[in-house]
Amino acid sequence: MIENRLEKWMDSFSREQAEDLLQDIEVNTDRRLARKIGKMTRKRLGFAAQKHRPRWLIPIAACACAAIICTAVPPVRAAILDLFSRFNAQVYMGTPQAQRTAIPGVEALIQQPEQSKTHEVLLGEALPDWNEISEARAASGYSTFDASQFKWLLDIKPGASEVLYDGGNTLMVTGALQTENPLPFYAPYMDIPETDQRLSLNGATFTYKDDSGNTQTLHGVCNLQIFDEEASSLASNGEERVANTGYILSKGEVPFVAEFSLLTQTAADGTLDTSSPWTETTLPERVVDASLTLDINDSQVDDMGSIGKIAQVSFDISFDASESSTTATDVMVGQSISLTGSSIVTLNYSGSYFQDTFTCANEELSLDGMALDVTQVDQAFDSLTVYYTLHLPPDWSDETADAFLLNESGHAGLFFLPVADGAELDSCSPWMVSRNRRESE
Amino acid sequence: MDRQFTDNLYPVRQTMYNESMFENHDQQICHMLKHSPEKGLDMLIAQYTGYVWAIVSRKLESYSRQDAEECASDVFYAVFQKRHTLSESRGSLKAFICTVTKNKAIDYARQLCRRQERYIHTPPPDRACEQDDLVAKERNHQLLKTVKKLSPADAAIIIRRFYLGMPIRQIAKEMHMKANTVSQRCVRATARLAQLLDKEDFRND
Repeated sequence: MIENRLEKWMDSFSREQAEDLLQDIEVNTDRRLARKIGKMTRKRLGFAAQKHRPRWLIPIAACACAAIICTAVPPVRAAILDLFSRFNAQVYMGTPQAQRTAIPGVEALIQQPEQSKTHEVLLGEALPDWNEISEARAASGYSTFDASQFKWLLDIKPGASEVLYDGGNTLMVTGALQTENPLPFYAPYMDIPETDQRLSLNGATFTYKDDSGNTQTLHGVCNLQIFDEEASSLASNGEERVANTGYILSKGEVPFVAEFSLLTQTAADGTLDTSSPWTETTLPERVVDASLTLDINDSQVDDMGSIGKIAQVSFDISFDASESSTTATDVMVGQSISLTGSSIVTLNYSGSYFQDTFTCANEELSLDGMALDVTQVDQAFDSLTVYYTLHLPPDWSDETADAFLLNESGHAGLFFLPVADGAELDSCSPWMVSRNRRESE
Repeated sequence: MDRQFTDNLYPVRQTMYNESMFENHDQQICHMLKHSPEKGLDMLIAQYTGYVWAIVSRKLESYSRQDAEECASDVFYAVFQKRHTLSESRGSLKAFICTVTKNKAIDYARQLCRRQERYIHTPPPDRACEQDDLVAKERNHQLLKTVKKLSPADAAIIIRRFYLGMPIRQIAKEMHMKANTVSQRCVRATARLAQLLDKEDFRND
């Protein structure tokens, strides 16, 4: 039956073939499903829940927030704009040290790790999960892996150059894979006719022992350190990067950035398990000996999922995790902001957005007795987090209070606009308002 | 594009990036993913959940909805992590995301099957699929060319049904047709496609 085979054949279409096939096909998005998947993805990325802005609260929240942020760090605006709003850790660490404009606060967190003299490169069937990968390749219609074409990967020598750990949720390791054949690693990102192979650095794992002696594994991503302006530059169209192949070959290395989130879903055996609950962890405050493993994918098969994985490189590094810690400041602790008067407030009464029925209403309520207590302000190298306790008006019923507080986080209640020197920061540059914790009394 | 949805997502600062700055929506999403990642992610999800869900729900139809949702989320997570290397000039985001989704969904199915292998018999891989690259490429090229010979509506049905894996009811809804009509057209279009492939000496092993 051709029906059975059509799907299988189409599964092995390359990106270029998919491009051609899907040209005139448009698929509508189910709004509720998109919200749910968006929420899951945002949570995994450590973003605040999507804000569903109750517009009647904007003036109140703006006043509260202006008071919080402006008083928290007095000469705020210049400092914030100079650092947070223009700073992107991936771009910063993805730019070679010699080429980036140093930000002292970030540089202070960066360490040069010590590294073991030994390393291990596993190719093809030497990979622990090779049976599954080769079965998946076959089931997806891809050709059997030919190890002889990739033998040169065994000569790769990895090295780590920098570690950025902020004491919180961010851990990045940069370094380079020394090889005489670096061009295939650049090929997925730019046109390089000099090579037939296309390889990508894909997954990364960071394994260490916690204070109890248990092995912990962080699963992360790895990318080419693509912002090296000498290795490639932006074409005149401002989008395409053009490789400087002479430079890449003379350098003989594949610079990488491996990024890990310490918010993980890890099964008891250390493997990534998306059905496990999310756990937030920090590295032990001491010298951490860790093993770093980088996956190498054949991009012509798949440059992201593990179907394309053909090799992995492992080596050990150690660095002092106690040197990095989120700076907590008590500037605002104890300050209370009271709200008075009445306002029309958006309330979600029952169920969740993703259930079939829920009741949403705008009601005029007295805000007398509502207060925000700032309990903590944390300043990390790339973020400012304000923790607060919200006191609700005492005459609100439990039902009103429940409807006001989050029943699906982000869909109701207060939201915040960062304001500094009288200007909303959002209007100046991309800005993320982080809402990490919500408390009520 | 569901404009209503996008506008709802960022009603306040949407004007920061004027849409006229971009030639198309993919370009805008790529730009936002690089320069305002959170908003870029929201736009990406708003635009492409339909495609991702169609593929994922088909590939993981034997598993729970939660598994499919996690896989869909994983696709967006992976694309987000690669945002600095995305370039609209290297091909459409749509094709890229669909390719990533297919691979992720197959990978997920494999993992889920492994978890349940105590209970489910896993058939051995189809050895017929183990062809060399050139043969597969040629076969796909020929198939693509032949699909394009069908009428636009029939080709759209075939692509939605067999590439995206959409159920007949959803295709009918998307194409503003009756489910019965889509079902019949799908059968006829498949037969016509088989006929055309036969004529072209299509290698279907």
